[in-house]
Amino acid sequence: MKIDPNNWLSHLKHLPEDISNYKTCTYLIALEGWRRGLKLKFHMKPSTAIGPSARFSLSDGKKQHFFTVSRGDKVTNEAIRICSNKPLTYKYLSKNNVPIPEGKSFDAKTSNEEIISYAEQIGFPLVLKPSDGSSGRGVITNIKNIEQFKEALAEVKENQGFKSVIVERFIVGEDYRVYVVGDRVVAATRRTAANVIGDGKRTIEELIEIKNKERRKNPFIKNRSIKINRDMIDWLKKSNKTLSTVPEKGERVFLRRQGAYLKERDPVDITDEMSDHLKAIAVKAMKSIPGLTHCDVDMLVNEKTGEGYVNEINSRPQISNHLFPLEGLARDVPKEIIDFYFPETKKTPRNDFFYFDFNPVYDAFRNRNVKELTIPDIPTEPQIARRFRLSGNLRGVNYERWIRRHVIRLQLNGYLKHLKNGKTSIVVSGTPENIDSFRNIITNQAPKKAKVTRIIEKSWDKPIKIGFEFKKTHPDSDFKQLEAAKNEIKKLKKEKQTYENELKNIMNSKTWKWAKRIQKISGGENSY
Amino acid sequence: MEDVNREWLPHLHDEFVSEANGTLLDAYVVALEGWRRGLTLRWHVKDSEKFKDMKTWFVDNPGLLFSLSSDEKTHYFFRSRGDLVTNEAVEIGSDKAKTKQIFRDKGIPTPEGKFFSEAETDEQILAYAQQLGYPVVLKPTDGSFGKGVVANITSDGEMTYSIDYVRHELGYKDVIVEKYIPGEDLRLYVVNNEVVGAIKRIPPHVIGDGINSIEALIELKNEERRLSPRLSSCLIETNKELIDYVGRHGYTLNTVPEKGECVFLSERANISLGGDPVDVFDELSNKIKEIAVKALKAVPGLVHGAVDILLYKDEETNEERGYVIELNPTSQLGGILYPVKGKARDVPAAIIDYYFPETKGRRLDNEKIYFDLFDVLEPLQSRQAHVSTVTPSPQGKIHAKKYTVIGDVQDLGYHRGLRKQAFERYLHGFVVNKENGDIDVIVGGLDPEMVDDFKNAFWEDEERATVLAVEEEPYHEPLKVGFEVKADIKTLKEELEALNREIEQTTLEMKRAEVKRRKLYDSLSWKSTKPIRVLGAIFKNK
Repeated sequence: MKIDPNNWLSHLKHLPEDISNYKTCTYLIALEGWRRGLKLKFHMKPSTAIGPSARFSLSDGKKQHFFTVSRGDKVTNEAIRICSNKPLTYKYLSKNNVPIPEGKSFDAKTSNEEIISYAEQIGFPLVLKPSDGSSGRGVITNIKNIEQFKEALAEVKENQGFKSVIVERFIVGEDYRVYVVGDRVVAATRRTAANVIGDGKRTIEELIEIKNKERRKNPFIKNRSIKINRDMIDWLKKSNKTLSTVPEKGERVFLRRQGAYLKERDPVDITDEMSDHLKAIAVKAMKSIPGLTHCDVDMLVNEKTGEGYVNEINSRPQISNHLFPLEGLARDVPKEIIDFYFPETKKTPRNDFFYFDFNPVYDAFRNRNVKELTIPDIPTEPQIARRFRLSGNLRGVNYERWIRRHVIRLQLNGYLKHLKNGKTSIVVSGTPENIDSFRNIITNQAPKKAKVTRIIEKSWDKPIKIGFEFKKTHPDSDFKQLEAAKNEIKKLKKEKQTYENELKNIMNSKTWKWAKRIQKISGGENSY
Repeated sequence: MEDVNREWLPHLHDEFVSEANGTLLDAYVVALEGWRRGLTLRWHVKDSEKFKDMKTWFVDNPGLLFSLSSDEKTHYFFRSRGDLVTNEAVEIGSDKAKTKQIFRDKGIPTPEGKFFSEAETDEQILAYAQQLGYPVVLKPTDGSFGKGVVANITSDGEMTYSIDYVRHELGYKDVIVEKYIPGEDLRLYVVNNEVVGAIKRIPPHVIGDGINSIEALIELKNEERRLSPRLSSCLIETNKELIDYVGRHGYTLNTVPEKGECVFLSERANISLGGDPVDVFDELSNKIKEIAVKALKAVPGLVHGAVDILLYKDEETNEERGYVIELNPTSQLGGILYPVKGKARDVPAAIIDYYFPETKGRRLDNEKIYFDLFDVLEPLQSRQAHVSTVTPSPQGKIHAKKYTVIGDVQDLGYHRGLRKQAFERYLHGFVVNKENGDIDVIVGGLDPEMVDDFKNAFWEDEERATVLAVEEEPYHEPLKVGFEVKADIKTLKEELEALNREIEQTTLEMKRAEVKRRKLYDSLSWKSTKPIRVLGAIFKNK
């Protein structure tokens, strides 16, 4: 199967690399607000659950809203408290007649015997999970008998150290993540067990390799490759397949049992296919929690009967699964969230021409010596962009410093890069007048030692990163560069020393003293 | 060498300011003072917020513009000058002709002199100098760092030469001619009608030891200057001017001065040209201090700044007279903070007292805490952020310990884990690898229990570290806010950047040396002595 990046939102195609997991969600929502002209600030918050750079604020000058990853301040602390406690969430859901899987929670004081007897009472298959876990941690599904249940209980309580647990009926069905904002569903993703689709030529193993390559291009699951292991081989055997089987063209082969290897699942968009009945359940679930105004609702759906159960509500979910599905259309959740917080900017045109770099924020907060960072406002005047490709001698002549002075003065954004072929590329955006001045400057002026022999100008239509960057020519490893730099300094110092020594020798030599007298006679000409 | 008899401020110890070079120093010391008192410190890029309306210059690189805020108010600073100094005051202060006019109007003693604009001819200037009577000083109206100032001109010949040099070679068309007054060159810093620091500036000089040549003495003196935050960027340069000057006084670079003999190397006392700042605050008479206060007051809106005064002492009557030479609204503070002799005076504290009087006397554990200037400015360098807010300084007594962890403990993941543990305990510090395979971990914070408790943190990551033993000792050195993993790739990157800067610098020096050498070989006299050298070589070989 080929991932069609056309499914993704066009304005999110050129993102800074190295954006993944929570960083993606934080970045995308901040980006949406910033591109509408809102003022963006990042606030370092020491917290162990999420990165220190996950908190930001957006402001239109009149009101300011704070966000932690995907959750904004229109979600109350009360709602956050309820959502992080599963038994409490269930209490609110059942009070409001939202379908939930039959089950019961047990606190730390309950004996294992009591829990086991409850399991027998409601019957198998069952799910066992911690009351306060998150991201599927410690969840054991499809427990088929009492022996398996005892094992699972020991695993969760003793090995993983969770004190209180939930026992509930295992519902055979698909795993949906439904994003609700205000009073409607804005995105829904089904998480399908890892699978490959045959092309009639390649083996399952080869297809997995191709699929992993595709996954790595996806910001949401780029770190979640499908790993071949014993479990997979055993699972394939059940349908008389091995890793070297060549599936027929169009045949979908599931690589995992449903409900296992949760991180390897594929996000598939189903927003349009999801029934109104199920959507209504999701909205009702959110509204059951006081103070909750946008969230992800996790549902288990039996696609044959069309029935669905809510099994978790996440007030600070990842949203990238909706933005970067492996199949189906991408849904613009950041847009919905910003619409909800700043409805007056709904009609503001989003300036997709610019983006900002998240890495400086991440780096600045790393050692926590910076507390807040204000991102430059997005330019409001109409701008054009050009790429100038310069030939000549521009290295080691302080050309960069000279360029920097001018781009700051002319308020240009973009970058300069010395290319491996000896040329230098400068990409800039700015007002037409300032671009004209810049063209004039690089053509007709230059630092003394720089020689420009040719400039080729082209228009530039890819998004521009705010600020001005001097890109590295050789993306060598930093260690290598470090060694090279140290050696170069050594060499230069040695060379300098040679010249200086030579100079000293001359000055101290007898002949130089002779020369001095002659200098005096000849009027000190050329004395230095 | 001269006796080292000086007393710098312990809370501005040179380690704190090691990253703040040149003009960054003035901004940094004022910012640090405010930040340590609990004010919110933010660094800005050019034109950010109120800086759009403030007079600033050379601010493409971050580090000169910052703001300090309390709950009630925010003040913006360019280097040592805050926003209570008006733009008009800055304008007048940087125009020597205008300041002179004001001094004359308000009866402030200033050397007699006259301003000449571009329209006036060299002859007119010469005629005025004759009329005024030598010796005179010629200087540009808007120069700084002593550039283009020619002092003690004693004859028509020197005057003609100097006019040509300043107006045509250097290109300063607008100049001032004034009476040359021999005396001490003082700089006083005034905040809100009070003198808070004063130095005299002694022109570049060396003191003989009977062994070393002048050239060697300069080298030795420069070695010492490198150790001072203020002087490290202002070494004495052995250039043509210097050689000429000592030549006029009968020396060459090779002369070995007698022990204790003082040899001046220049007329001009500017610190940037190699002059020595010496504290004179306590010995200064009230009369001189009053002149300084009056001079600053004469310019409306100049609520703090530096005043340069020439102190003339009549040797017979022992009478003191002060002449105000110029005002400096954006003064460097380094000379007062790091004098080569005498006591440092806390000008940054006086400035913050003036802007935030409510924080007066809120002196905390100042000698212990500072922040990493490089890290804080980095996001502004590429302009990917416009404002960078520094993590607040801990308000209270800092407790710190150094733990040495012995074992297999140099895994980077382990170090990052320690960083996390430090943050959980609200501690600051760093972890650094030792060559023997152990690590030193420094942690400090307000709560001594947390500092003690940190020794438990070392044992909690069995997967990534095998800890054999942990030793502890008290730690009294300064501490940066935040927590740094010194072995981190990011830290290495910074090292790389520093190395790259060093390469740039060394290349430049190398080229200079090369050019010098080439010039020498090309020089006529060198070529003309060839026969002598050839001859010499023949003799040597025999």
